[in-house]
Amino acid sequence: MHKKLSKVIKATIIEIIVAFLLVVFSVIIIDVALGQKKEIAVTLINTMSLDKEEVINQAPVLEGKVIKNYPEYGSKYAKIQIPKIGVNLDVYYGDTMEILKKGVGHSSGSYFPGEGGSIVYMGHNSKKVFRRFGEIEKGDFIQINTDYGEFKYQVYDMKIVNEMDLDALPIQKEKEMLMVYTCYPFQNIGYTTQRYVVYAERIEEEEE
Amino acid sequence: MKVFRKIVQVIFIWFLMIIILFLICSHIFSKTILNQDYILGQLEKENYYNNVYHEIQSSFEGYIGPSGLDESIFDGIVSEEQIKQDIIQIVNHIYTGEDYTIQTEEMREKLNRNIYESLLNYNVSEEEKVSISHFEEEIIKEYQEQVTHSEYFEILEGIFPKIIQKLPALQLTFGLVGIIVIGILFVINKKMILCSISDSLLASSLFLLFTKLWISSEIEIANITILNDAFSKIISNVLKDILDNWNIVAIVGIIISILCLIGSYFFFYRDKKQIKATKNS
Repeated sequence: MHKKLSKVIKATIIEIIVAFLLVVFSVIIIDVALGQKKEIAVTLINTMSLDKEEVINQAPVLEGKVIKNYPEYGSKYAKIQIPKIGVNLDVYYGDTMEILKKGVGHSSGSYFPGEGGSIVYMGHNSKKVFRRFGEIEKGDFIQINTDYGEFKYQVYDMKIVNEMDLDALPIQKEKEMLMVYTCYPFQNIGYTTQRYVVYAERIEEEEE
Repeated sequence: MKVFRKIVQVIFIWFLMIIILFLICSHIFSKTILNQDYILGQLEKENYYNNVYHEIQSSFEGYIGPSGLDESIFDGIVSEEQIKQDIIQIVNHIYTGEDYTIQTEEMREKLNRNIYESLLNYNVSEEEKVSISHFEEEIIKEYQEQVTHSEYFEILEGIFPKIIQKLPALQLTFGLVGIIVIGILFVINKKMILCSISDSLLASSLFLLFTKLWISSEIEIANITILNDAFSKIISNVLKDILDNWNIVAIVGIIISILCLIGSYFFFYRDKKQIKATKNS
């Protein structure tokens, strides 16, 4: 009986090994057939996988012209002050509708104050935000106060542009310039395709 | 000759394994991702319609700032029930290919009425009327986009009806081929036919188990993010359900096949002993 049982177990183990080898063979065939496509598919799916663990926020720091620990998307990181039109608003990193409901948005494709490049801000033309934008004149000042420094800009131009005219908001890193825009006309009713852009350049170094 | 027969037997066991794999996977898919009722159930479970309703409201509010209009113009222009009906229509279109129409006329009328009611004491110029009409069009487009998410649904266009239509015929074909393969295995070694079938079942179960483990280790299913939280949760639930089903089928398959292997060898050795004893007597 014992001998028979050991024979049965031995034969079963052999069959399990055969099944395992068949699996290995199948995996090899799939691997050869798919090649790199398999890794590309996994990478693609994983790009849609966001780690939902809480991000530990560290305060942004300006080192030379490079910011360490950029603010989290959607977070408030600065205040914009335009004394001429009584503006003192929070600036959020990002430009979604949700952000613009809260205050001024910072286009994620542009540089941060202090980095020495184009900074693009935007806000609604509502009473609470930029309704009086048309009163801004050349020579007026715009102050940006961030967690990592204070930056002052002087207005040198204003333009009415089409919403699709991307050339009106050039992104570069040779000169620090601030471009703030809102919808135009300011008292508009309905849908508008025009934007009013205020251009300002930095006039003094960061205050330590 | 014996070795050659064994090799042929293993090749057919491998064929049977592929057939079993196809039948298991196609059955699981037809009960989950290829099942319209299952998907609608998932949408209901994750409160998807309510989520879309809030997203639509929020996206509408984004147009208010630059429009110079009051937020109250959106009051009652869209309801959760209407969103649900539209989404059900779209899901039905994805699964059956049937045409769908998103009714926006009533919505446009309500919006137009609300806008002009909010501007009762204001003399609207001709230019502003054009601008208001443009605004209404943008709101309607925004609603359609939020409900259909056309960029994703265009990818799926026509795929599901084709698969759903062809799957039963494919399952039948694979089933028939499976019976033929079992017949061939019977001819090759009729005493060990149960053992051969068990081998195929074991190999396919092991394959499913390894695939499940590999996918779970390579892809962070719980963190998949598409469109919004509710939709991401649905995708993640569907994938999780598929993998859980794979897992259950794989474990049950492994247990059954090992028991069958033991049983078939037990009877094989008993018969061998009996034949030997008969011969001796």
